[in-house]
Amino acid sequence: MNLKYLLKESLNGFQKAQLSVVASIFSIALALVLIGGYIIAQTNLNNLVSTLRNKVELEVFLNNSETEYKLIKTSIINIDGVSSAIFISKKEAADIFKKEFGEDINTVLEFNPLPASFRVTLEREFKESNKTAIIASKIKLIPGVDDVVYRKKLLEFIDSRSKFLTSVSLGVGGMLLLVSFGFVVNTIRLAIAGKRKAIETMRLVGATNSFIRLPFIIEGIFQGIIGSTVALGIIILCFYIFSKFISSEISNIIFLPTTFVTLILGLGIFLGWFGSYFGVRRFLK
Amino acid sequence: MPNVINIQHISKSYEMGDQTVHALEDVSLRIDRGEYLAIMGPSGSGKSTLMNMLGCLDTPTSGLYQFNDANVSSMTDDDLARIRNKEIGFVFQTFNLLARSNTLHNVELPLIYAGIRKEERYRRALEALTHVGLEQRIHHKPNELSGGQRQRVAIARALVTKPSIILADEPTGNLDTKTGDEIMQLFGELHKEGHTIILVTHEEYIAEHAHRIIRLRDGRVEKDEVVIKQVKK
Repeated sequence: MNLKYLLKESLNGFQKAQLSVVASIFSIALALVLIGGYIIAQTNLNNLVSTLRNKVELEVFLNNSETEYKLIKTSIINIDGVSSAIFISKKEAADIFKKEFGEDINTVLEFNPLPASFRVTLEREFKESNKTAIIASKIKLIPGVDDVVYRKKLLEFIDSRSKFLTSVSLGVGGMLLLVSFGFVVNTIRLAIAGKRKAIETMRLVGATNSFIRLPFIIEGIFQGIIGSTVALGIIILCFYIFSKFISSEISNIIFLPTTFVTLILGLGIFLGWFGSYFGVRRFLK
Repeated sequence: MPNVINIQHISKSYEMGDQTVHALEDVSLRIDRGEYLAIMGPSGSGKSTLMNMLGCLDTPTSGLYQFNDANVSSMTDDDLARIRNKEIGFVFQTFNLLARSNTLHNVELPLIYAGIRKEERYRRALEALTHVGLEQRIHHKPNELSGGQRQRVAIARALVTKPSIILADEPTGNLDTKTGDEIMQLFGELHKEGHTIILVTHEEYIAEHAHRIIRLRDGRVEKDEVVIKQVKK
């Protein structure tokens, strides 16, 4: 096959049919801006949820029998799902009190009423309300443990909302992907339909299907690369404008540079290839 | 004369919804090298389907089609493309030229697909264009040419690969009578030079240029007659 001719034909497509080329590139860029925006929103939402979950830890208050704490610690650690248990003695509790409230509790009350405790963190997959509740009840049964306190309501709130949000977001994501793909494929198909006569002529004079198809596919891939570059430009611009308006304390927005850029570029190339392959296929038989 | 085309009992049917349409039924035909033949018939008679078969644009549902003794019925799409490229020259009512390419490039096109190098392509395209009297128009685009000139470009493109047959589908359909006559005269000359020409038409006076007329009706050959007299100049 004549490579020089193929490349020339592919690039000619850009010059000869400028409007349809612009439309194809625009459709790819628009689809990728939507998909990219969705991915960023989704990633940050997930990030926010896991940050909130990570803040959840159990405070295990002990009866006033500090001597047994090693035994209690072993019992806590042995529970499935417990990641760590840090011992906080009565004295350390008083120090924390002093740090937070600025006064020495021993001076105020003339004795230290604060119990010794453990600060218990859980493994990632156990940070759900029902699993945490089971662990809390197991800890409560350990002799020497007085009470277990954690942010139960917050955990329950995250669980109920995140399940709902995940299903909504999966639905929205799926629809978005489907609609953008349909949009791009149709735009490219229309652009190729404009060259139907030329394709018919090429067939008549004996071009093989692959010879006819290749320039369109190369053109489609070029359009994909340009479309995804434009999309990335728009997304990055929007991202920086948007992040200026949001306090970093609340959002702690992340951008995923390398993976994200690769993904959008890959998707753009795939869209260009996919659209042109199926766009030209219907005219080849 | 050795035959170029040998068709034995070919049929072609299409599925349209839940109906089967028989476009061609049990058609047998032999076309010898050097023949000047016209295929006639009203619309729906199957002449376009037969032309698509003869032009290797489609394959039959059943039956045997041999082109230069090669079995076309069992060929792949790429093999069919190669036959179209090397053995068949197409001339259509709508000219089928690349609108954005000049005359020379349009005529060169089949040679590009055949992998012929640039200098040789230029030489042969110029020769074919000279043959149809358009050597002064090689840098013109189709929209800068008259209908008759466009059809001459299409004929030059059909000739450039020195094909076994020239397949012309209503070649004068878009032309006025005078220009149409000139084109038919050109086909007559090509036939005298030894080219095998197959015309597909529904116009009686166009078919009369041929030496043999095959009439189709309802997908079958109704009549296959040799026209004795040489009509018109």
